[in-house]
Amino acid sequence: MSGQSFRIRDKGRIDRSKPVRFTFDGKSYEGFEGDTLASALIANGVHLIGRSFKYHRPRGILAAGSEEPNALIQLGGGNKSEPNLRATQIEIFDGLEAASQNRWPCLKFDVGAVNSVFHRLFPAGFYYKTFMWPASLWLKYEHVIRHAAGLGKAPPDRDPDRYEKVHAHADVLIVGGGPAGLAAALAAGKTGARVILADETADWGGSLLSESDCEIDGKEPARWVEESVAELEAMPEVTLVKRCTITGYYDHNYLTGLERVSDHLGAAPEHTPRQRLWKIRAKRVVLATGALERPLVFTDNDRPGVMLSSAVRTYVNRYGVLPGRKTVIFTNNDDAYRTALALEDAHGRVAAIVDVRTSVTGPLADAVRAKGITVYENHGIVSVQGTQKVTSVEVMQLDANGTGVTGTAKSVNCDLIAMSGGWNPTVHLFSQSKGKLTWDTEMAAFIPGTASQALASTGACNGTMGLADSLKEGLKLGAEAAREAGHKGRAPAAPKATEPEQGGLRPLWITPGKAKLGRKGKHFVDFQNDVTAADVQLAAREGYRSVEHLKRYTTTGMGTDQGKTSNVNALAILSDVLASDIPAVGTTTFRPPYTPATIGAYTGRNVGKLFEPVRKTRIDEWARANGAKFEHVGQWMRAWYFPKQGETFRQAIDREVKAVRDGCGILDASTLGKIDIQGPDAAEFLNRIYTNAWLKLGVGRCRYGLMLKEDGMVMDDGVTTCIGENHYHMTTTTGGAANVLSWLEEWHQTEWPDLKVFFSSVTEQWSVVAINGPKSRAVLQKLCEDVDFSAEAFPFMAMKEGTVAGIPARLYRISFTGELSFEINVPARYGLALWEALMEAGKEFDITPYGTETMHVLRAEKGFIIVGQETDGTVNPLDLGMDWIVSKKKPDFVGKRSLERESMASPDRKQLVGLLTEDPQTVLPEGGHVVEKLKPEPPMEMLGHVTSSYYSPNCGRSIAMALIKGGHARHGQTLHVPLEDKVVKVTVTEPRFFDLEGERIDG
Amino acid sequence: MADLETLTTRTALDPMDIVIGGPSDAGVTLTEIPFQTRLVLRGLPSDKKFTAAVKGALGVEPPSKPGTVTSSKTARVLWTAPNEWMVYSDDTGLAATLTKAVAGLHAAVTEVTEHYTLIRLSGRHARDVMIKGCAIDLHPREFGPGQCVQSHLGRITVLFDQTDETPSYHILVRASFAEYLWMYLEDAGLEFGVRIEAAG
Repeated sequence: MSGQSFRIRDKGRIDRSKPVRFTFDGKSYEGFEGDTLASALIANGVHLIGRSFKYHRPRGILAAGSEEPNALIQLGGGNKSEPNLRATQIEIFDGLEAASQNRWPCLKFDVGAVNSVFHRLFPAGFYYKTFMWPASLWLKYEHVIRHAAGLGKAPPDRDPDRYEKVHAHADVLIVGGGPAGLAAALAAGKTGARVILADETADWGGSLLSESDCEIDGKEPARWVEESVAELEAMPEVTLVKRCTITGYYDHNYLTGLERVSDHLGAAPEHTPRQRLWKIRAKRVVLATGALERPLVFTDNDRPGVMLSSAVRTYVNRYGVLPGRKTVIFTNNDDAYRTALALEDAHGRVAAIVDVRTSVTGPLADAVRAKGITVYENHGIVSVQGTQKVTSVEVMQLDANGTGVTGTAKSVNCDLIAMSGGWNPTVHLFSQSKGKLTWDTEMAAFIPGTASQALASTGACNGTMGLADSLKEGLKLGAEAAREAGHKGRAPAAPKATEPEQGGLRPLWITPGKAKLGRKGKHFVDFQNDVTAADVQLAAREGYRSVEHLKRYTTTGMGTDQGKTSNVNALAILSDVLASDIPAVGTTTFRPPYTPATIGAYTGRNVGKLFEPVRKTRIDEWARANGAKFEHVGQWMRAWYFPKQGETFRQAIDREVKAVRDGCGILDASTLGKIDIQGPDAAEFLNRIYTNAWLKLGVGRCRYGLMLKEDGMVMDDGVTTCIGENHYHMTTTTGGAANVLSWLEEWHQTEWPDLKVFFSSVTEQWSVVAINGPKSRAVLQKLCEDVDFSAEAFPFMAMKEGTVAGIPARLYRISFTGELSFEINVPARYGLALWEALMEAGKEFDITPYGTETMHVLRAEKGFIIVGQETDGTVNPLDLGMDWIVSKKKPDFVGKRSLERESMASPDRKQLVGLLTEDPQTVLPEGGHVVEKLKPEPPMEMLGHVTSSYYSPNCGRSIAMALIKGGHARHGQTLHVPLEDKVVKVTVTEPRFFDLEGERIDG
Repeated sequence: MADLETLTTRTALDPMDIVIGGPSDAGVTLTEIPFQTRLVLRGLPSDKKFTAAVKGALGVEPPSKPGTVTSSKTARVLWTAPNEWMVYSDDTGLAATLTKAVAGLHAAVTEVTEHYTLIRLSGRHARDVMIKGCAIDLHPREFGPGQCVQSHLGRITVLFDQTDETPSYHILVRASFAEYLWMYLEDAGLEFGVRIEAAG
């Protein structure tokens, strides 16, 4: 058996013909296909798996499923490495590399375990109590704590795996593929409903795979599972998803699931995702998530070799491994007796059953006694020997009320303790869905109460513990869910199921030890966070009486397992101290995810090239081929400047800026927002939206407009042209395009539905090339025979249709530079052809391509604002000195009422000014703060900030614009811009620097 | 002076240098259909004159049921809002025809041929690719030929309609988002195999 000395010869669902080699902490082991890492380690007799979070106590495997708090593993290496995975969920494959966490230098000898010796220094709320003062040192403390307490390690670099997402819709989503879930799926599926059945494990059947003592319709439960799954697979509208943890339950029956598509294969086949995130919208949800067994809280109940009783049964029956050769069962209920019988059946010895109940009778107890197993009634385990693996226990009789022990201790040798403290229905998803829990006294557990979404709970998660009842309930609720989703059909007859009959439990929340609680040994409540019963009691005594406070103060219920095994035990102990009943104490909020999910799955394919859409114009490829540098403008990628070989940024910009004013420059302006406006009331609409007058704009004429929000602040600007009768072409800023269209629609739909007007975005219908400079007319004339370019025939702010280089075009004589300028619009497919034709025709005039930076300098020389740069949502037209564009005559326009408030014209508002630096070569940084009274160091009273700043080769000096308190009255004043290394002296001017008379517009 | 026919035209996806081809058994095929006539039609569905005028020009009335499509030999008309439709067609003269037909009514025709491009996604796994990035229920019981929807696909907004049971989807996308969408669909289709086909 090649080292697998704890493998049981004739049990388990593993494939013995397929041995699998893997390593744990560098040592090589063998398991079989079908093993989890936990079962394979148990097969090899490995029980020490990790060190605990705070005390670094040696820890083994507690559970067999996703509730495992101890056996956390760092899996794989390099960028595929993943921390904090539960060994109980990892399916092994050839070459798997697993490592323990939270130990240094090695698992067996760990320096951090010294914490355990000084445990009195680490009481509940230790972090809060110790590291609070001085506050300034917190960053240092945190660094040390993180290193000492951290569990796994994050991978260092980019995740190389693929992740998928899928949006799924279902009539009925069933969570959990155990007996109740399978039954629900069969019933729902038979109606023809669209059903999704998801289970977090690799196999269908849930708890049925762990049992050897029950039958369904006279068959082994595994057979019934096989037949049911085959039936489901034959239903075309049923989707079965294995290895898929439903992690979150949100509003409107929206749930998320994490499917581990190829984690179990080691390397994923090409193009196959590692994991897939399911986003499921279901008309009805059936929760069949089962129940989690509760640990018992007794002295040193965390030693490797202490395991949940049902987990022991799972390891024996499902995986064919023996977690111990000699077992003590410690229980408060009958279910653990099944474990004793399963162990006996697998030739494992049961040394004794320790039961806190005063008198144990019934068929299971009879069967156990018939095997000659000693049952200690009304007893508890008071000590556990063996730190890295259990070697023996001491048991004592409980006193009358179960709070102390009497008599003498009996020592029992064993290497495994199988404990059972009853069952907690897995109500996590029900609770996430905002359902209300109720306390079931018989089970001593919370079960689903009032649902607040369209869901049903069935089987163990509903507190329905018997197999026959679960199957019957599953079928009934599955059919009901399908009916509620609009499908017809009745529940099929329930199969006959038999299993051992069980009696009740005795909830004894703390098993007393030989000494006072917290003195000798530790009663762990939360294994993952190292919270003990004494910690919970201390917290309650210190006043943390709310369960939410208890959670945060002691950290119980936090971490990766979110209190799956600890929650009810902690509540019960708290309620005992508070002398209150458990339902009154309540429970903490269950939050998604049920188990941790990778960020990769949430990111999906939104990585690399698909991280964010990059929008390009049709001229982009020319710019790229001609060495342009680019900048992001929203999602657009725009040419920023076109450096020639060896040029610096400044040299390139200076050259481009000069070229436009001296000759001719060409800009790709295609990204400007464009909106087609049609209708008899279009002019009236524009008149209400813009601040200036629009009723008399003739066909073929353009007008600049400013839009305000209702608060009177500038929202957007642009040129709108009347291109035909009742037909307008509006342009917006590049970034404002979508917002402006929504804005127009909103006003039309909500305020002025009577106006007959329609809007449609045409931003990308047109490629737009702006040609600027005194020679631009000459260039165009070479390419355009059907347009009269004379200043009289084609004045500033006019539009003409014509043909440029053979392309049908609209030519707008508008200017963002103050130069003679034409913006040529052609159908986008011809954008590149137009650009190339203009470049060719412009050769003799030294036509110069320029980008957004030069555009900014040129407009700043003229004092033209950019919305979003000179404005920030708190700037009104008066602040900008743009009173000229605000109509005094119009009865109304959006923002008019706000703008007329006295304070909007207050002289001490921040107003737009120009700034000239004392040294003309100094270029102020944008965002620089402007002050009047200079102090040696901040804080200084700030008057405002620099909004735009450039070197202007046409002015032969730097220029800047700024928003400054009372700026309009400060022209001529000297102010200061203090920077990190110097103070720049500036003079306030008009925000205009070049061609002050506007003489260049006609070329 | 150049002739329009001889001028270089560039589709939204031309700069990607897409290579036609791929496995014959691919689960999905991708095609760019760049220059169909595409028009935004606005008008009031309650106005009988308007619907009649549209029928006269397109051979079919604009659909009044949300998310549905009507089609004739010349055009497909997609419902996009209570007073808005997307019309697409191979008839290059349709903008003029339709504009003339609705002249004098409270209606508008806006040409958006170049504002959008159309990517056709087809094949036995086309639905599987779509639902990776689109939250709409595309199950045949809920969505089939004759239906259209505006929704997110990946990180962008698109308008698409299903054109046959294969299934095939005609996805209208703003031109500048076409490159993103193409890369998205190609990547999402990898696990099923992708073949690129030429339009026509």
